[in-house]
Amino acid sequence: MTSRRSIWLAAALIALALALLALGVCVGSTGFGSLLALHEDPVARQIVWDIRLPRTLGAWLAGALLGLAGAVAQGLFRNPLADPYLLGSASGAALGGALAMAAFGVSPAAAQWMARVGITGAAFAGAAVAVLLTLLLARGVQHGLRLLLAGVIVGVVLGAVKDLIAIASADILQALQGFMLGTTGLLGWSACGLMAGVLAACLLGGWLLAPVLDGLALGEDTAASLGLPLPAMRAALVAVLALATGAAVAQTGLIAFVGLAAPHLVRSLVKTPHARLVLLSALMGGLLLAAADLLARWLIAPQELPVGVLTAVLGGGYLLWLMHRRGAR
Amino acid sequence: VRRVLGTLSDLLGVPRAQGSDRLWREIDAGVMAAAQSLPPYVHGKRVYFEVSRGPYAAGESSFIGETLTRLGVRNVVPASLGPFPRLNPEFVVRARPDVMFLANRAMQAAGQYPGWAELAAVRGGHVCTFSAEAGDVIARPGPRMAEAARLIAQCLADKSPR
Repeated sequence: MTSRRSIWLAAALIALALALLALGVCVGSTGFGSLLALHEDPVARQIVWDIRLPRTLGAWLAGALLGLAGAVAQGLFRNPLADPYLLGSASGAALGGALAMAAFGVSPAAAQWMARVGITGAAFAGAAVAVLLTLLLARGVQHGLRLLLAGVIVGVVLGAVKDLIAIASADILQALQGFMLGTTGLLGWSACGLMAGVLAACLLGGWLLAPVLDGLALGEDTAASLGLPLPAMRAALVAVLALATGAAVAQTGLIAFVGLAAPHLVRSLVKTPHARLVLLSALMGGLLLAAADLLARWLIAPQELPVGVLTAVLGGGYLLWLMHRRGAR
Repeated sequence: VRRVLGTLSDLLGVPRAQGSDRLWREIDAGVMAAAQSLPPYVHGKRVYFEVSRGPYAAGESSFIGETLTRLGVRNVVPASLGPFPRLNPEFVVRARPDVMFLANRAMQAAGQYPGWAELAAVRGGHVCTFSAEAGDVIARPGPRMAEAARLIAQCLADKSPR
């Protein structure tokens, strides 16, 4: 019964995503414009092909990565409030971005070097360093609680360093704030390719490691007594979590709430073991972010809203409604 | 800027005629001189001025936009969008500016936004970038606005397509 429900849900999510993709190709700086009208115009064709298509697809991919990472994080830490940024990767990425932006103003040589690495590269490096730091502080992945605490500490400390840099070079504040709120406007085909590759690897990893998450849901001791090789599989799960989050954050900035909300939304619709939950969360996250991206460029076109604000409003609003409905019943 | 200069003048007890009004006339004359120094082919060119990554652009109603108008070029970002709107990158591709300005704090090479590599301005090298010091002069509204106009005009003359 549940398996049929989750298949239906997956089909619905994919169908909605495809509909959004079609809609996303039509919505641009002039608001809604039909594809058919654009057919003869070469500039319009280029806009659709080079900007709208990779952007919509990229938003979906980034959302899927965050949704997947959220499901893994909530399973791994057995904490419904866990989100993908728990291992410090968010503040690490923000710090990397801030460093890159600050270095840009220092000297032409630094600017040239930074132009090559890009904010994206710096953010990914920052996220990776932050996760490694967390693992170092927690002395490995064996203690869930210690890992959690180390992640929070690393997040706070790196966040403070980032604030220090931002205060010292106030010029970067606007750009940095834009990065912190997340943006899908900079996604090109190369970003899509990268995220698609990472998503495929992480989905496979999540699928294979799902039995551990199911086991962990019963408690660490039970999981160990079930004969699961916990240490190795936990390390692999952390790797999946870090990779998925790092890839998404580096390309789109810190998009709030998708990773936290997607697994909850799926759980509210169907009860399912983690193997399916991970997959469905990815689909749900992708749908959420693709919808937010669409609204971000549609509502006040040709200007843009920060997409992170919209994900919080959309996801949060729906979750609140769900809680309210459940309370009333 | 003019109003702030006037207030400053009053606060410091300098008569406006010798203080703010004179300074404003100097700025005004500087901008005018910069506009007159431009070769004729620059006139009426469509320009886009990016102030920060995002892309945040300088609209017609911003002080940078006013300087651009005085220089006789047309801003692709209309005043109706506000002084410094955050644009959809697609807007710029559609607007097809002849010359693009990237202030140093835009922190991007042109063409890093998806789709921009194909813009005529980017392919033809009609892109102005400024050093950190020049960027400082341009991005702050103040007594150095005449100098900013001179920097912008110089780059316009150098980089504008004929």
